[in-house]
Amino acid sequence: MKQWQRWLMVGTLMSMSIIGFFGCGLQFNDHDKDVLKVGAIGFASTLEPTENYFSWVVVRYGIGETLVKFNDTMGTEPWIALKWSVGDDNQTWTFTINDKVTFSNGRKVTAQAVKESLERTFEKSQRAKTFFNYDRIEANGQTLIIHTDKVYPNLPGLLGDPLFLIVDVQSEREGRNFAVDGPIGTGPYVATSFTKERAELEANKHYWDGTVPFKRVEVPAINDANTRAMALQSGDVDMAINIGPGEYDLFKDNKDYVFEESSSLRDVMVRMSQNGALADANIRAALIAGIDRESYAKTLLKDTFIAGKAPLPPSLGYGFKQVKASNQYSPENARKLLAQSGWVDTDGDGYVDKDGQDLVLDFYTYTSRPELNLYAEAMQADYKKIGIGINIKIVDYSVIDELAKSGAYDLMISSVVTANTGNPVWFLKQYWGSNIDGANPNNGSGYSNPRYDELLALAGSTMDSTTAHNAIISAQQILLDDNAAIYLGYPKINLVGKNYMKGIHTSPCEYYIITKDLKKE
Amino acid sequence: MAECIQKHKLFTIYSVLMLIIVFIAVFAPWLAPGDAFNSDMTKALQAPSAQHWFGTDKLGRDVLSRIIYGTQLSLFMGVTIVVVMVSIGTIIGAVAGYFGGKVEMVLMRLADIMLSFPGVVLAIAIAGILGGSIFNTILALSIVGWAKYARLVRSMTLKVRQEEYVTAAVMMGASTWTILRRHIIPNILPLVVTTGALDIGAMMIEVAGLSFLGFGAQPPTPEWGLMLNEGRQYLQTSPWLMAFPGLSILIVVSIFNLWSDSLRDVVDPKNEG
Repeated sequence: MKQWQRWLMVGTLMSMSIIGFFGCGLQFNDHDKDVLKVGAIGFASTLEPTENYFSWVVVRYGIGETLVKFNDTMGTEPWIALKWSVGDDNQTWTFTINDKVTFSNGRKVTAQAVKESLERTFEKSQRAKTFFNYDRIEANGQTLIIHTDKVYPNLPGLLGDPLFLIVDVQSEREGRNFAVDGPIGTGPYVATSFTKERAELEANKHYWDGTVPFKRVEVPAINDANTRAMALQSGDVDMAINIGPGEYDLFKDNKDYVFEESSSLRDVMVRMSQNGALADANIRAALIAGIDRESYAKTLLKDTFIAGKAPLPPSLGYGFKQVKASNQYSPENARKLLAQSGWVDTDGDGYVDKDGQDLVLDFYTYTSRPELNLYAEAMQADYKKIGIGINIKIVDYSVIDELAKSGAYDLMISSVVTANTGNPVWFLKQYWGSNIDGANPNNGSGYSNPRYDELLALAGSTMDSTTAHNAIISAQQILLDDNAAIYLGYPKINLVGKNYMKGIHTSPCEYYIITKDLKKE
Repeated sequence: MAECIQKHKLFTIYSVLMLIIVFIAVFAPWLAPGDAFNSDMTKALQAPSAQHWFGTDKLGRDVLSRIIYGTQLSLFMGVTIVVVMVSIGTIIGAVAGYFGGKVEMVLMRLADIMLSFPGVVLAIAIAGILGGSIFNTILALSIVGWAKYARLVRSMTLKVRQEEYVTAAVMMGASTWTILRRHIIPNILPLVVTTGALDIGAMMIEVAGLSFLGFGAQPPTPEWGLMLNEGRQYLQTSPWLMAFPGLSILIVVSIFNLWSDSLRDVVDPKNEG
């Protein structure tokens, strides 16, 4: 390299870094008050609410609303429906639709429109039928009557699930394609364009519940937690959904940001196969006793989790303190349990063995939630100490769904919402209810306990809330006694915004994020 | 010896540096100051200190020790992949070049197909389908990399084949295998080996890249690319988790590239003063 070339290179590099440093200092402080930018996690590929779980996105982005809304204790509150009541047969529900509510195209929301919307959901979504079934729906002015096929004590809660958001079916008949153009809902914002990577919304000119603060909302999908945090720091977005444990300290107690945090209804749990080596309850108990859940929540996840114990999180109030979990963290105890079943390290390779076979288990985790992989690694390290080998297999979320059904795993971690309808029966049933003739397809683990099934059937059909409450607590105790699964922890959820943001509120169900109350000061 | 060192000063320096890396890899268990494998969450995410020079990671493992152990894997992977690639490429290239005709056409078109793919993307696809593991990484990168050597060896073989000593061997009735083994391959090997050496560094980066993306080494293996990925979640609060593995890759790959560059100068007769 000649002398002048060398100088040229040094000069170029230096000027580039100088420009880079100045670039960092340039910030657009005068944020546009008419535009809101939200860094979100994007999992929906269209805005068709009946597809997959995409309805969650429609409600989160303030496009769609449901008949019933959940408050911070997961109680039901009026939204599109003003009030409701159930007849003496407990199967006839009467909902009064709020007279003020209009769709974003200006059309009034009548009971007939709600009926058509619900029928559309049942027609297009397989998932709808797992919530409830109806014999017929009557519409008369603003009065909607739903005749269900059996008793559903929690029907209003079920209708609060985003899947049952109310859309204008008439507009679809007139040619609007919900998947491409977004549905016509009743929320404060209307989609103007949508891809998996980016959603653009504008104010709903016909919004029924007050003024809409922003003319435009942009929601880039920033799925990587670091990038999301940096986008918030640099001012690319005004607020971000879920800051990861690694960046937690940068925002919490920082006056430049509004940090809203609450316990979620999620349970990060590890499903255990009840087949192979894990058919032995001692081994399942050892797997529970072998891990230090307190340290995971405190140190590894920097207090963004509450350490796990029971299937349902403490925020739900189903006897979290009351249920007894044996198998507290104790590596000695875990080793003893393994030895009782004949698993001892005879060949000195560090892993316990029996009949010449080391105890090595396949542990499945997925990429979209980084905290799960942290858990997986920490557990792997802890299990090594008691002589159990773990093969971590990181797969796509879609694979997890298949594995859950086939049961082709030893251990499988997932982050699950336990009460998306305000009631945990559906959650408890689908993961541990006996899977006879595909009744609970998500329970591929092979777990089955008739007493447990009975309790859930009772909790799901009785109109007496105390009976239901006690049955759910007893059912949890059975899962704990049977060592059915490992409940690692309950994540807190957070929404973080620049300090000029007002009205940021985390709801435990995670459905309401971009609301009419979000404003810039 | 002294004269040789005098003549190839740079090569000597780089060789010494490279030998230090090999030494670190071989004696990792004795050199590592802390625990590279066992978690101790009471020590998690500690900043670099006198006790832990490079800090500790999220499970409380000593980062310096993990980097030292990581040398083993990087070196092993880099060298193994190159050996596999060079072996496959040399055999296919030599056969194609020597026999010509349809054999050559088929083998070289196959090589062309492989070369038409962007290498890393194809490796990601292969490792993705097979699942992440050290063996699959070697397989994926070898499948992608052999074609370059096949083309190189083929053109060299075509040239060597014209030489009179090959014609003489044919006339003396030597078998094809003997001619390939005794006359052709030994004559093209020096160039192939120097090209291969240049690739060791590149392969180390690709292995780290695949591991970073989750297609290579799996936790808890101390592998630099994997460590980078693990540290990514703590980039702003615990930057040492990414800085030190990144530096290690930079330093080791640079040394290998410089060494192989100077090796070429030593081997290539044109550069002899």
